[in-house]
Amino acid sequence: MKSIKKILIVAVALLIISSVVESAEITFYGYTWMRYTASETNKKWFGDLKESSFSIPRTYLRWKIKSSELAGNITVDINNVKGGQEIESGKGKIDWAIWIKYCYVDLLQIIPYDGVIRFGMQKTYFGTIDTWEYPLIEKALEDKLKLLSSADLGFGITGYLPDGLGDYALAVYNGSGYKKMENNLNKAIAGSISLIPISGVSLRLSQYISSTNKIGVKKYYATERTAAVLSLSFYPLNSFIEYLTSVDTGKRGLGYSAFLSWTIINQKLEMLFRNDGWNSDISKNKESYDYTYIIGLNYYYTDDLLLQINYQHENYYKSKKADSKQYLVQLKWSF
Amino acid sequence: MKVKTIISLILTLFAGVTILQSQQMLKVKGSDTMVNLVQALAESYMEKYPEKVISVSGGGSGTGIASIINRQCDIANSSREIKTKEVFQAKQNGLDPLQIPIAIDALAIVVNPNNPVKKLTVEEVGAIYAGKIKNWKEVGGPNKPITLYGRQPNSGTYDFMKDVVIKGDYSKEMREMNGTSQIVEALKTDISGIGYVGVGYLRDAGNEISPVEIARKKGEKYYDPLNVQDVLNGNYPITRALYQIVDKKQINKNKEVKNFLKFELSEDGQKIVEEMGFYRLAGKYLEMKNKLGLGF
Repeated sequence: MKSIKKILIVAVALLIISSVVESAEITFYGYTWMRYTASETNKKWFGDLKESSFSIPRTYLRWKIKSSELAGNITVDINNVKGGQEIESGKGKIDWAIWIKYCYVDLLQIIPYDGVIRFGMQKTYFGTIDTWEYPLIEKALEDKLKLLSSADLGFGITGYLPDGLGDYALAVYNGSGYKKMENNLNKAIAGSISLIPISGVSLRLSQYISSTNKIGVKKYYATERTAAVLSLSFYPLNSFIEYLTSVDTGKRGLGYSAFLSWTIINQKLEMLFRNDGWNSDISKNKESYDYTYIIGLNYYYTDDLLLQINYQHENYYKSKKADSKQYLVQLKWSF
Repeated sequence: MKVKTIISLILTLFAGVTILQSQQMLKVKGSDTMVNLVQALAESYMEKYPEKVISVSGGGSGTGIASIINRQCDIANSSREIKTKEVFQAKQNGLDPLQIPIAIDALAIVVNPNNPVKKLTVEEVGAIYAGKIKNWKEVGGPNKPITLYGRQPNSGTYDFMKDVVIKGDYSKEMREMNGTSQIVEALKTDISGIGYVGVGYLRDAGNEISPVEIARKKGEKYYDPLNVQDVLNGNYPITRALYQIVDKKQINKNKEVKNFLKFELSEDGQKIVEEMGFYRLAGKYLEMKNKLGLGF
């Protein structure tokens, strides 16, 4: 019922926008991800499967609206992940959910060099969470670890440096992400700046600060995230390494994500590798890292249909859990 | 031993694929306004060098620039300047984008030959396309509603009109046509229509459509887009450069790119530019090209 209400709200919003913004160009498109997952926790290859399932974990429906002074984006996220949505705090979880992932309006032509002032539900400008375009099926490291939400409600300024020498973003958010209502008097701040000293080499520094002081609750939590991303793009190789830290009321996390892609045939076939390491509390044990190793192959059947094959190995050093292995095959269809 | 074999196999595959990719034909993609011009240049070049293969396709300036950023083409045709955002994306992707003017275009405002309106100001054209002027009688013509014909949003010509002439948004009544030839075809039969085309297309359209003389403001002199001198010295108000965007590194690395660019900017190439109804580089655009230090 809630989902139907959300769709109706979006439909009405679109009708209003299209009637108010005379002559705005409206484009509609979407993506859907169809996936097969096989996973196991022991050392045998397909020896003891824990999961063998087909799923459509995500579908995006997107409307983009553009006139000479304004632009907007409304993206509806239809999610089907086991226990992906909490009904109400502590009252259980459901598999299906519909969220508004992005819903923002941009004021154009105010900030030079293609800069925009953005209001609404937008990306969190941090590390690789806003730039990761899923060349591998796994999320960006900070997203996977739930260190911050990939989208949030707020106000932001984004733009580019002269001659395309870099870009910047600064935003103030609720800090609750796009799945929960805000119940917090303090706001989160994210800032990122990237520089390209020479073509193909870019360095991005990001900082995210958030604090919660829930209404009616005295407890105060402060969180801080820092990332530095060095990207190297020398065709046909493309890579980045991200250094990531987190601070949560005394707990200090530290880790990295290293990614490499090799374009074998341009726009047709690529091979990808990723290695993540994460220690959720470095003050307790300096060597207690969990590692992830991913190897993938992307085949672009057409521009609109991408086949992804991934093997993902999780090595939980810290919790001493058995290794987990996943075999994933996914079709990403753009329409 | 096994590991060594696998590594050698990967390296061999890597080298093989790289060699194969470097031997492919030269791909030029982008602005629809420039398709016929660059096709003519490519044909002349291939006649001179029969072993060379160049493919030229359209899709719009934005599409062409996106293609070069994603390494889907070697040269992007663009009838507008590259945006800061696009330069950033290109640099991030390891490209050094270089914008080279190869010709000058004048955008002609065209009507059906039976339409008595022969002169308009830039402001009036802008107001017509913004939907503020809806009837020909408001600009000295017959009492007939104006039918607007224009290009689709991914076209550089669409952006050029929007930025330089309309200075705002198009009227939602405008009919978006899939190419200049469709505009010309529509105007041949629609006496109430107005459209915009690159001057190169006027020649092919013969007398079936007629260009309107344009003045900057009311009370100022009107200029004909077919008058070469008025376009080159900047009197005719709706002019622009036509660019090709390349990866600077490719000019030295890929001699096919360098040789084709060299041909386009040579005397022979610039003659073809004129034959196709555009204008050879002159004035500020020639200076712009010279400042790039291409050496040709």
